[in-house]
Amino acid sequence: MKFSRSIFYTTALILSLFNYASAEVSKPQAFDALCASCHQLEGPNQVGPTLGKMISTPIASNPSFNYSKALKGYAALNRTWTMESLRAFLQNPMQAVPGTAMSFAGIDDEATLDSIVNYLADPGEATHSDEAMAIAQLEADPEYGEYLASECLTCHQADGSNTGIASIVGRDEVDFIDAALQYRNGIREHQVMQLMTQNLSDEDLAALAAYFKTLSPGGNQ
Amino acid sequence: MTLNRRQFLGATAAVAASLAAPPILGAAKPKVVVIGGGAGGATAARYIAKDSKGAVDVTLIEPTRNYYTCFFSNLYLGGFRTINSIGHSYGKLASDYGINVVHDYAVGVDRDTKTVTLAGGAKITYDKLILSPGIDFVDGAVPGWSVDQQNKMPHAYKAGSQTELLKSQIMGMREGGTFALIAPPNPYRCPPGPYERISMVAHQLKQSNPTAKILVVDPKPNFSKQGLFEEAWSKYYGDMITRIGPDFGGDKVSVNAETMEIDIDGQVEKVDVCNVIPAMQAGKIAAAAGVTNDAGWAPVNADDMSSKADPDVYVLGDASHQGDMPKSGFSANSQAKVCANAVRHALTGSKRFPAKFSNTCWSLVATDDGIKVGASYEATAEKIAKTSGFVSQTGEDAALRKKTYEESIGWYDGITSDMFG
Repeated sequence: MKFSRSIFYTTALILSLFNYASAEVSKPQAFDALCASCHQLEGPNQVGPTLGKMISTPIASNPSFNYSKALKGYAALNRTWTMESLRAFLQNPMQAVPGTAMSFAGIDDEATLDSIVNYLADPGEATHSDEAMAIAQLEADPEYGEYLASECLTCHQADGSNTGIASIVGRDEVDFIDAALQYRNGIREHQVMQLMTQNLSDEDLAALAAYFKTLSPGGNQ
Repeated sequence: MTLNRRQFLGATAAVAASLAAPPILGAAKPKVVVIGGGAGGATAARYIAKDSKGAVDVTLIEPTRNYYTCFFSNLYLGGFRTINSIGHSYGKLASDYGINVVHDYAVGVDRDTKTVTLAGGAKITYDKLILSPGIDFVDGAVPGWSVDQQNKMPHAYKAGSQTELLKSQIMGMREGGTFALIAPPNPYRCPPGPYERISMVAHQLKQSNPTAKILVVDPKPNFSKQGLFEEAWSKYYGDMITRIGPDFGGDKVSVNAETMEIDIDGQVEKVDVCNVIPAMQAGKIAAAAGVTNDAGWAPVNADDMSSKADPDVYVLGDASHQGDMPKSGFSANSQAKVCANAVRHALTGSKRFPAKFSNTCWSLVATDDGIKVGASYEATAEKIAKTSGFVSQTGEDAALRKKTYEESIGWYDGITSDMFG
């Protein structure tokens, strides 16, 4: 009995380690650099459809996205994405699906291609970069966050209204930090946001993320 | 005995001093008086009231009940905004933040007794005074023009009725007439402002009076975002706009409001509308408070915006002489938050954080074509010093320019809710 219990625990441990490892696949920076200007992992469709788990998922199956005829035709023939077909598509979209609306030249670098295909296979919960997750662990002084936030509030509205500039209130802290990092690291281009984030330390970002999470869309600040 | 003016003022001040009760330590709430309800003053008042949660008594003195923002007033001239859309009231600052909003002119500051005198005669005492009075014009800067002529030759550089007057003159201009703009010398409020105005007037005239001409008389050899403006002018407005710089006498101009003539270094032009934007100085209350320099601006310490003349007086925005930041609403709003943090710390012992400043100036040059320039700044012992910046590029694609314009609309709503709640 003792023996079999030990096997049971060992098996459970291996399973839990496996699950843990799978959930911790972090988002490659290459995704932000190459894909994120058109694709989000949550929220509404942008230029391209919002992406979820890709492998074994029907091709062109996001119901609210208007796919090209070419991709719909490809979906009718191939049904679901496989690691191989996704890899071929991202390596050269025009060649894999002639007529696709995705205006993207493709990824030549093998390592980059692998990192993105592996990631998109099942992004799971891993929608954040390691860097953002580490910053979110830093101690955040709420008063300092409120002071720093006043600089953001010249443009971003405290009640979350978006009349030309995105809302940054009430967001998950790691989401917030990841978005700021994309500007600070030069992955996303925007003259004002790149300038503003260049002047923010990791501690500043943690304090800002903590403060803005306390504001809610619709006001009451 | 006949009192001369000096004796009379002295006597009044002495009476005021004797009437002012000595402060009882610890008994009364600390008092902050803010003069001027624009981007600097309204923001400072709101942040001090909001963050001190009632621990500081805040009074805001602003003559107008409806405040029209100078920023975006050019868009009204161009037909992109209504005048009402750039008007704001102080209702929320009073009701939601408990700020004592007083609609009157501040006419005097006695720094010895820490008392502000209003045009209506009332006197208000302060522990900390924040001056954010914007600009006034330098008398005689454009020979022949004074504020007495502002109804014939509007400046429209304080928004509101002046802006509406200029718009009605533009709309009523004879077919093929000439709109002249006399640009100011440096430093002045809103560096791209006169040139955005040229763009917006051209946009309006192109539709309502396409054979009209625009004449810009400019004492400066160069101006903000010059390459971007000139690119837009030739792209959208062809040969409608002529600019005369100092190399052709643009710095030697006088006007005659009766005959509607302008004299540019001896060459006389008859014009139909004349927008005179004279040289500027700090709003007059800053000089009355005795905190201005020979050039008419108020020198301040960069780390908290306190006056170099008095640690209990702070000067924000256009009126301040601070270093590298342009005189803009965005700058004033940015400076106000640094000042509010420092004032609150001084009065209540709340945490003080390092000064951080930033600015972006958006300009609209034609439909869906926005450009911008911006920078961030730090406080040094000497001044507010620029650390890095950016500017839009010539030849940018239309989608980016449209995005820049849309962003400016978002910014307008952001800063005005940051000012007025």
